[in-house]
Amino acid sequence: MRYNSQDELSRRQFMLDNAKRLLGVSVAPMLGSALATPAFAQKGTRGNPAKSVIFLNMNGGMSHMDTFDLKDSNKKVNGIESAIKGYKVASYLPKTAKVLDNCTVINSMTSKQGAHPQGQYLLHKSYSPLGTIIHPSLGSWITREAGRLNEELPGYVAINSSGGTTGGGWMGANYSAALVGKPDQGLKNVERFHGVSEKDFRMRLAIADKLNKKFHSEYATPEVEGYAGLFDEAVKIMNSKDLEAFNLSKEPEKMRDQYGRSDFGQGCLLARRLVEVGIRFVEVSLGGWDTHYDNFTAVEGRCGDLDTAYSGLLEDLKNKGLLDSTLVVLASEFGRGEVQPQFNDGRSHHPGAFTSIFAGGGVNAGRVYGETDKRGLKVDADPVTIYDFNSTIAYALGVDAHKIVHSPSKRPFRIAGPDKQKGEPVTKIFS
Amino acid sequence: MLVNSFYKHLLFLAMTTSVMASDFITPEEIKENVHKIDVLVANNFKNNKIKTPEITDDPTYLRRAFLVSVGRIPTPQEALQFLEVENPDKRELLADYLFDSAGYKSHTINWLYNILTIRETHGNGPSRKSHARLIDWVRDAVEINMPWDNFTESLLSSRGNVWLTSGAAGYYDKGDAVDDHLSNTLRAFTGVRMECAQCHDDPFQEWEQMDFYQFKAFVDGNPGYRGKENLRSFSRKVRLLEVEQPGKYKGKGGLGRLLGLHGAIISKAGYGIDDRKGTGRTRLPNDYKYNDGDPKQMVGGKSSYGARLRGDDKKDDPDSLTKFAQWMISDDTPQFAQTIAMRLWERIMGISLTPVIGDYVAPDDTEFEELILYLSELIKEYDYDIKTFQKTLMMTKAFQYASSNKDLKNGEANALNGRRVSRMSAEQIWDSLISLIVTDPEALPKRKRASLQFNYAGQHVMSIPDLVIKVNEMTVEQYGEFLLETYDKLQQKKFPPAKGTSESGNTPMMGARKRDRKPEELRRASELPTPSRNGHFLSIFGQSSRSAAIDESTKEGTVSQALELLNGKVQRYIVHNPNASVNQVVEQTKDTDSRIRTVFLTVLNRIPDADEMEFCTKLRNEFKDERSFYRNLVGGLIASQEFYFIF
Repeated sequence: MRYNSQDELSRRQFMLDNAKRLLGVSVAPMLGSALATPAFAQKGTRGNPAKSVIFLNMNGGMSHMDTFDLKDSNKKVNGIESAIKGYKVASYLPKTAKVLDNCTVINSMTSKQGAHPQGQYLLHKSYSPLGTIIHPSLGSWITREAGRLNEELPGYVAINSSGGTTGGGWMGANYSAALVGKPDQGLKNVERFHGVSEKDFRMRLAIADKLNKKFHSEYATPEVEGYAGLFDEAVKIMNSKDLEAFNLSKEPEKMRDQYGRSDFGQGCLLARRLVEVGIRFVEVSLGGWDTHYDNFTAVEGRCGDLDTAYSGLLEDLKNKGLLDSTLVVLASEFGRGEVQPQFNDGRSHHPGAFTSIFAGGGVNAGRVYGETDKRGLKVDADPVTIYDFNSTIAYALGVDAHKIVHSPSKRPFRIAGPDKQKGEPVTKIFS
Repeated sequence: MLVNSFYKHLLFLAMTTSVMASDFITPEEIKENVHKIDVLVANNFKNNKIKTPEITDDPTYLRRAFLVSVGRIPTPQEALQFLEVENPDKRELLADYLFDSAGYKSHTINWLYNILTIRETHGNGPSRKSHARLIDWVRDAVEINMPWDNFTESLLSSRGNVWLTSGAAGYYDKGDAVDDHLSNTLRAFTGVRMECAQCHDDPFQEWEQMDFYQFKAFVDGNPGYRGKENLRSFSRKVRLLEVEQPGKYKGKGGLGRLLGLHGAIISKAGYGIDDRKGTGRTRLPNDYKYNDGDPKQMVGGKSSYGARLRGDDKKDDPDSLTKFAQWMISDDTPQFAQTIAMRLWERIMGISLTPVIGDYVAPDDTEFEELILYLSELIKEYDYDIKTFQKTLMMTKAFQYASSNKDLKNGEANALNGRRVSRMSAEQIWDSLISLIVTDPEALPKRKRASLQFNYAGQHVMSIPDLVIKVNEMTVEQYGEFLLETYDKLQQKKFPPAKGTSESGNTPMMGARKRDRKPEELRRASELPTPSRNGHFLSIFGQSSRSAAIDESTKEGTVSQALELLNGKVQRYIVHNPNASVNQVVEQTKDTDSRIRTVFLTVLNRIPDADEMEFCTKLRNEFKDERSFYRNLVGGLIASQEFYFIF
């Protein structure tokens, strides 16, 4: 094949495709990043993209009206001035209020999905659950399309999240998030079993290797070859000097306090450590937002953990010079509706209008995008659907949200979701 | 009368047992059929000018036969018995042994859980409240080797409350996922894929959206059991009463607890199939855009393939579930027999005769027309006895061919020249590892049946059948009184202590999950909660989530799997567990050279060749601590691909 007759992009794409085919999952990082430089940027992606995403999943439906979209009619929550001029947030979020000058708050999120499982599924995957296929999550898409930055560690990690919403779906288990339960416990099975010396371990690998060589020579099928590098990868992780990133005890006590000692706070700190060593996509979940009963007490409680962790994360990323290359997204599957006195001032699910926040990764600093009506129930300006939202994250990473990728069963899928939903990145929020 | 209806189901099972098809199939007939299959396979070689593959050696045959029929590797005792004995008929005798063993049932249960998407554990999926009874029903069916057509018919047509009639009536309980469940049903039993036509005409196949909706008409409606009045809506009434008359239902604190009790009762009384399901008609969607119907128009049932079945657009048909089930298993619906024959062929032979496992293709569109037609006829001749059918396949020469190391041409079936090498399923790996821990993997504890006792707050209220009968005969008002009365008695602890508690069903399982009790884990995969929780060994190795599509299991390798084998539970339960059978066998072998052979025999079911023997002996001699050496040998062999591939 004559490379000269092709333009640079298709030549690199050709090499990339071959690298993927021949080398498996882990594309050489220099190829991945070369493709994403402005010279090769494709339609629908942006130049100088962010490198990593920290996705803060407010699981359960965060009440937008009691946090980031305060209304005059809401007498139960006091507003305080934030670092965005003229924009008030709930008094439960004093530290967050001070770091909002790094953020674009989107107060015009809108969805039609008002049930938790379906809503979380849609938020993570841009598709509604279907009985006939399992869709990959956004972290899987980003890891696949942008490639891995750290060749030793997994590209996608989820902390305190469900394997169901962070799975690779039809992309397969290699694109599923590596799950971390408690942040201070790190990744599973990355240390030798106690009593197994280095020598024992090497001997086991040598025995397996001896048998594998024979097995490969007898059964040289793609299925068998697909397994060839697996144990090498595992040993790479075990020996990776970056494995320390999973160990929170390496952080000074003061830093751990800065994020708050909640699971969510420590999860955010772990996310920062992982981004530092080149993990593409880290999700941290904070549950408990399903405030049907006694909404105001419950929201105040959740905000306590959120406020310290979120502000701690943004300040830390900024101090370390990582905020430009890291997109921090805070999102929920839907918002909440009007107060229901009969349920002790609870609020029920409300997908029609809610809030998400983008920070870092080239996003405009200190803006509020979109607005809702007086009651906070309908979007009045600049609606952003879940499809737009996920396309925007892809855009920030220099990934084309409209690129079609076929499942093994030959069905077409894209980050932007189904065609008819017309998902588009909200490019206006980028500088 | 009530007793009658309650035991009707058991009676049905007993009757089915007495007409079990395999009683009428003689060993001679099986041999004839085996021969016919081999002739058809040989013809294929001749026509395509392909060299007949070699017959595989005894150790490979042994391991393969065990894995495909009982889902695990043989124990060293089983391996020795087979390898040592010199009997020309030993492969046939082994087939008898395997298909009569408990392992066959266990392996079959895993397979059925996958294709029927049976899920009981907590997850993001829709409600599975009735699946404890469905699970018992499926397991009973496997126990008696229920013929596949009877099995299918019962699943698709059973009505009534799951606790009073048959657990089969739980099959349709997939929350509101009527459309998806119908697509999965058509695919599972007839190999036809209609999932695209749920939303639009399928551009790649002949199906139109109208075809899908006409099928949907047969099964439309919400699954559920309403009894005399719809007691499920009672919770709304309680809430309203509380708003209108504060304190009527025990004030704020009591309301939640009262609704909790209500939920527990309805989770028993409200599950099954009543006349709201399977009305024979359905409404086209609001955005229906084709010329053959209007949005929201009512359409009656109609089959677009197989036997002719036509309902009425104008009026409901209360028998439509039964008609749908009978259409499915009709001789005039050739997709039914062919689909199960092809699924079983792939299961035993390790290679599909059609491009996608379980997808129907007209036989004359394949390379194997004669063979497919023969197998589809054979399973009917066997009266859908799936066990004898699989045993027949295992006795063929074709099953014994050495594996092919050739790649398949882009999704086309290969020319039958040897099985395709594939990784074991998650369940096969789990069950094989268990065979290294205990001496008799078939004797491990079984899953307990769903308890028939209604226990609440540690007290025994009454039996579930009594409860179901009682509340389903009540009006909503009577039910309200009953609920309050029961609630008061529970508060005053007037009921006897809980009895007959069992692991089956949702809640106790979830409790067990939290504690993650180790002894409970030492069971065959089929006896564990379905599916396993996230992060469990089975889920790491790709067990189907059994939530949505048919068989979502994956055999893809991941780094987590490698880490699990190198550093995870395998170490604690096998490699470093002196009581594990593999270590016990080594301990009991006195001669040191034999020890290496014993480890090979136990883990890989073969003897090491000279090169491997030399390699291991050298390592052992270099290694001072002999016990560590054998641990490393076991650990190394388990980490080898030979261990977790079927070839």
